[in-house]
Amino acid sequence: MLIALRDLQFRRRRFAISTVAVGVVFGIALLLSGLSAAFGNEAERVVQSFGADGWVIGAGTSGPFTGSKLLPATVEDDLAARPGITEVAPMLASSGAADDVNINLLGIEFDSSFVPELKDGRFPSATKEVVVDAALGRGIGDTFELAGTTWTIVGRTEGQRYFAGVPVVFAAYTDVRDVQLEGIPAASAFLIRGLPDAALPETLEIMDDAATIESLSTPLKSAVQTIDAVRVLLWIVAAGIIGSIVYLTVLERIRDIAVLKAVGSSNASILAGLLVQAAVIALAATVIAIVVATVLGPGFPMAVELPSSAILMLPVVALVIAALASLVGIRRAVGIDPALAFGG
Amino acid sequence: MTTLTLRNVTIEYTSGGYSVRPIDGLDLDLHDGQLVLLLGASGCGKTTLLSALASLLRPSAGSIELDGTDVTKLSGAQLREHRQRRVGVVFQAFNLLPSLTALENVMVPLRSVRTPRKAAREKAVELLSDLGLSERLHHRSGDLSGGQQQRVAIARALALDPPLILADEPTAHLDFIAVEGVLELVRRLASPGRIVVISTHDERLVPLADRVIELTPRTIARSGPPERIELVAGQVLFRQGDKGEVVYVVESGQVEIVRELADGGHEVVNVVQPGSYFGELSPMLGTPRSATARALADAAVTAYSLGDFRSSSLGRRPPG
Repeated sequence: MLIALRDLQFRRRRFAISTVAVGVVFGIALLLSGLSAAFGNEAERVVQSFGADGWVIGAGTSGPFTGSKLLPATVEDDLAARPGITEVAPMLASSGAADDVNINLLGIEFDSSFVPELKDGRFPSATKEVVVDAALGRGIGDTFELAGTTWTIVGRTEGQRYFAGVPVVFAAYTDVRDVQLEGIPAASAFLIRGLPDAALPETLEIMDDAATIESLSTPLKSAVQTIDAVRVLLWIVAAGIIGSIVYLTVLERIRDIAVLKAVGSSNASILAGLLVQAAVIALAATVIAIVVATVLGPGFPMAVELPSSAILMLPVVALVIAALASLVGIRRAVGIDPALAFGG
Repeated sequence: MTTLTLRNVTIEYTSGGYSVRPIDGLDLDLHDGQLVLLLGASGCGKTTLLSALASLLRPSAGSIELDGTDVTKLSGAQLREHRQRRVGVVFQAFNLLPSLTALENVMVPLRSVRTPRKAAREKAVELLSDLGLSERLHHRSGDLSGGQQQRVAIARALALDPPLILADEPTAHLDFIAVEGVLELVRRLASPGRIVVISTHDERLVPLADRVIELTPRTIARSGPPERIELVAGQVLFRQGDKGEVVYVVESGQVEIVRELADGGHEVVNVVQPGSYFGELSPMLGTPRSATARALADAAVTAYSLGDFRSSSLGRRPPG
């Protein structure tokens, strides 16, 4: 152990450079974990903020936010009349650009109980008033153009984004219907309080929050898979750096290792020393990684939400990677002939 | 009473595809308190024999008994224990661990047998102080002179007070002032309860030794008139590894020079024609024959002593 730590100290410059390199790679991997987590979290936050017991959509539609099939407004009366359902409200999901900034536009009924929590301001009380997410970067009283209409911000939410960080603009259902559907009475979904005692007609389907979150996350699945693949590549790069440094150390220390074997040190103690070095690099790199991710995360254009589980798991993953990466060097060290200690 | 007995020790290994046997059937009896020199030129097998004595290399045949234990039969934990406690080695280039201080280098063997840190430290301080290095305990090897590094290496070898101390070319990397100190120290090491074996080509060490083993036997110059030898086809004149005392000149026929390979095969090095000579290097350098000579067809050769060969006109011509 002492020999391993002294060797780290002796070659500190090289180990420091490797540690920083591994730390940056780990940090980027952590940021990607944060991006990936944000995709899942944002869908969960948006769906759960409505507090609905169910989302009624057209049968065969992918989900309230992602389906292309609209339901006629008459469904609202049909649902309201069903025993078990105590409240019904329409929701019309659309998208657009508020002064060239992409937004998700949701038409809801602000006098229902299916409304998001406000960060500040108030809910709209007049037509063309909206609540926007703080991620839009606008303040209360600001206006913006959307679909040829000027909208005024009266309230703001926090964390209401979906489709990879695109902020939500909440407007009155009737305003969105007039702008997007030219007044046709239809909705993407109906939010219900309570569940119907009897089955709905075959043309309708009820989704719970979990299914709705799943449907809202589906469009980003390939993006998440790509991020995960890049993350795996980054782990491999980190393993490559650690593996190279351990292997190079073994090559440089062939004579030292031969001497240690010649004076009776066991293979196990020599290998433990190499593992300790790899572990020290990995653990120091995790500290750098957390700093890198924490500092760079807020500056990312897309939301990065570092999951505490990823931060806690990072040292464990780093140690496993370090151990695996050291195997080549360890194999080389095992094969060193102690007789090499002789000779000039 | 420490004893070291070698019986019929043969060491053979492969080098560059050739089979090399630097030690062939060596018998030795070394006794308690002796300082023994393994003397010989480079490549004669000194370091190979030292590696075998250190149990870092298993001989191809024979036994090496230290205090009645045949160390060639040891393996695994027993072998490690033997290396740790029974043998101390002073390597040619000192081979101190550069990342450790002098003190920590001496502590390495002590810690490898789980001596408590404090006790290991005390023992290392005592050894280094005895060797005049009390002011250099915390210096890394790079900050020590050659003589000081050598003394740290000796202290490391002595750390577990082994009965057998081996030193490989202890004067090779030292200036003459440092050599004096090391020679005095080496002489002191050979005390009751211990055998010290030193491999060297430095003949200044000879007066210090209780026993000198010449691994390159001095060939007694063969005298007498040249001798004519008749060979039938396929007859071997000498074999690879034999001692060489004379130089041969081919009078008639052809002699094939063949190198025996490690895989059992052969490689023809040369075919010597009438009027040409071969086999001159072995008697000149005192090394074993590096190839086998055999008649390719019925042949006649004349064997010359080295002196006769040198004084002849043949000795001034390139070989056949």
